[in-house]
Amino acid sequence: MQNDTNDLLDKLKQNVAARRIAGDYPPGLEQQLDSHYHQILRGFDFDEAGQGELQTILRRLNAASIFDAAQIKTWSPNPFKRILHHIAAKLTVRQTNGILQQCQQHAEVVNQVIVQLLLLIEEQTDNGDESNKGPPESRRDINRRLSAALDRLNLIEAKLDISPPA
Amino acid sequence: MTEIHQILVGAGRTDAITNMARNLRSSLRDLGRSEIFAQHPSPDITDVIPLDEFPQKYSTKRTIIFHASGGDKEVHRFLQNSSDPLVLIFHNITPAHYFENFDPIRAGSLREGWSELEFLRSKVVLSIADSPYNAKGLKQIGYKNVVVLPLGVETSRLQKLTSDPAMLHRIERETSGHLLLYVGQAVPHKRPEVLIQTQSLLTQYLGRNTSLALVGPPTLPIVNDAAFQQSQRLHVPNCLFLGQVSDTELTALYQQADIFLTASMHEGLCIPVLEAMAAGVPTISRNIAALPDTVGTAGILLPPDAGPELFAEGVVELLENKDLYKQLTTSGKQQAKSFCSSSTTKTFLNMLAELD
Repeated sequence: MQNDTNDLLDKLKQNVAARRIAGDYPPGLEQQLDSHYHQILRGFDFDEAGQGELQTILRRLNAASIFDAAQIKTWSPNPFKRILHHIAAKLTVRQTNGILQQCQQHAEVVNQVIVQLLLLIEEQTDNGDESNKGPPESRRDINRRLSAALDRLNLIEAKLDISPPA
Repeated sequence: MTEIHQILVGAGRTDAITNMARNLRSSLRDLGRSEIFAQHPSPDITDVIPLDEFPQKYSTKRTIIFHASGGDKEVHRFLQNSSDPLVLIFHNITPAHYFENFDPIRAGSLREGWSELEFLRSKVVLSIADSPYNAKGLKQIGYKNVVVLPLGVETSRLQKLTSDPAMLHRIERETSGHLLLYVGQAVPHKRPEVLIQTQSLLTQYLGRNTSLALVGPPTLPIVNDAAFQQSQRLHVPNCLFLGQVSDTELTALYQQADIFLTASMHEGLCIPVLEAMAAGVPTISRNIAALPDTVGTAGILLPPDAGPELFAEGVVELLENKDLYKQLTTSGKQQAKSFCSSSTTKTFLNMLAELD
């Protein structure tokens, strides 16, 4: 029985090879079909993966946008240098705070711009449908499924159109 | 009074493991009180009790049978805290990597499932695997004396039903030529896209008149949606995405199917293949995981890396080689019969009796 199975498999493989040689199948057809499928999958995934990454970067940006003079180190293992740093910090406190304030203002504007850009991308991904109020992930999922369901409906409608009258 | 209860992580109306537990329950009830409890029972079923309603022990002898097929912290905690003897029936756990890119949460729970199994090892008094492949998996994580018993498998259950007339009508109306059938969940490792591509080759490159029906719950909708999109973009004719169907509808599909196809990369047993063989439908699958155990020599087993070209060739061979078709139909029925639950259940009940 094992020999029969092996013979059958050999026959199937030979037939596939013969079809490739005969030109029934274009070269690399399986790879093309596979990459086509993965392209479709990437299309489904792109928004979530990309936006997930953007959200993470945005959170990191938010966390890094708090400018404070207290975060500037004045400590040194050398006591003399330590005193020197403290004196320099006290002497330049007005200038340091001025610079930090400007940085803070700039960072806040940058943050706002990025948030707006992110919202725009989300809106485009959701086809601009503002009636969706759910969390972005489920909204996207619903949109995907709706679009697939609509495609299926179209297919059924097309079939009904070409069906002969009862 | 004796109590033997079964515990499942999830339970569904047409879920294969739930059906196996149901079949086993009717035999266990001959011995005493027996119920099925699940952490996540589907709302549309009434014969499975939520796990949080598990009764306080009032009999002197109670045994718990745990059907392991995935991870769940609550179920694990329940089993760890239980003082009752624990019998494990292992249906296998899908390797997490198949879900990593699709559903990281599910991937995590699958990984947990394996580690929970390792933790339970010391509590388990009897380990059952429903295929040699599953037994190997258990042994690899340190389980000893694993017994292979495909418990609660009733391959002929659909033969007892009448085919749903609406589904028969739909098949007649919406398909043409030979009907290729796939039954299984829409999950990444089942690879439904390979079947779509096979249908594309058969109809668009080889000029065959075939239809493909895909049946099963959309566990991970993106998997079916992407396969559907591919069928649309490639204009593959006669692809029917039927989703979850009732048992009578499934009976109609098996009745009308010419060939059962699955490109699955991982199966712990594969009940649909058994049901197809029982219905006299020859099967084409990959020689991977438990599929060689299930199919034996009664179906076409393609190499694990088989692509749509080889699947299409298998279909063409079966449709043209009448002797092979007939041979696989007959041997398939015999193979399915060998999984019949009555003898295995008897063996299992004897094993339970020996636990005393």
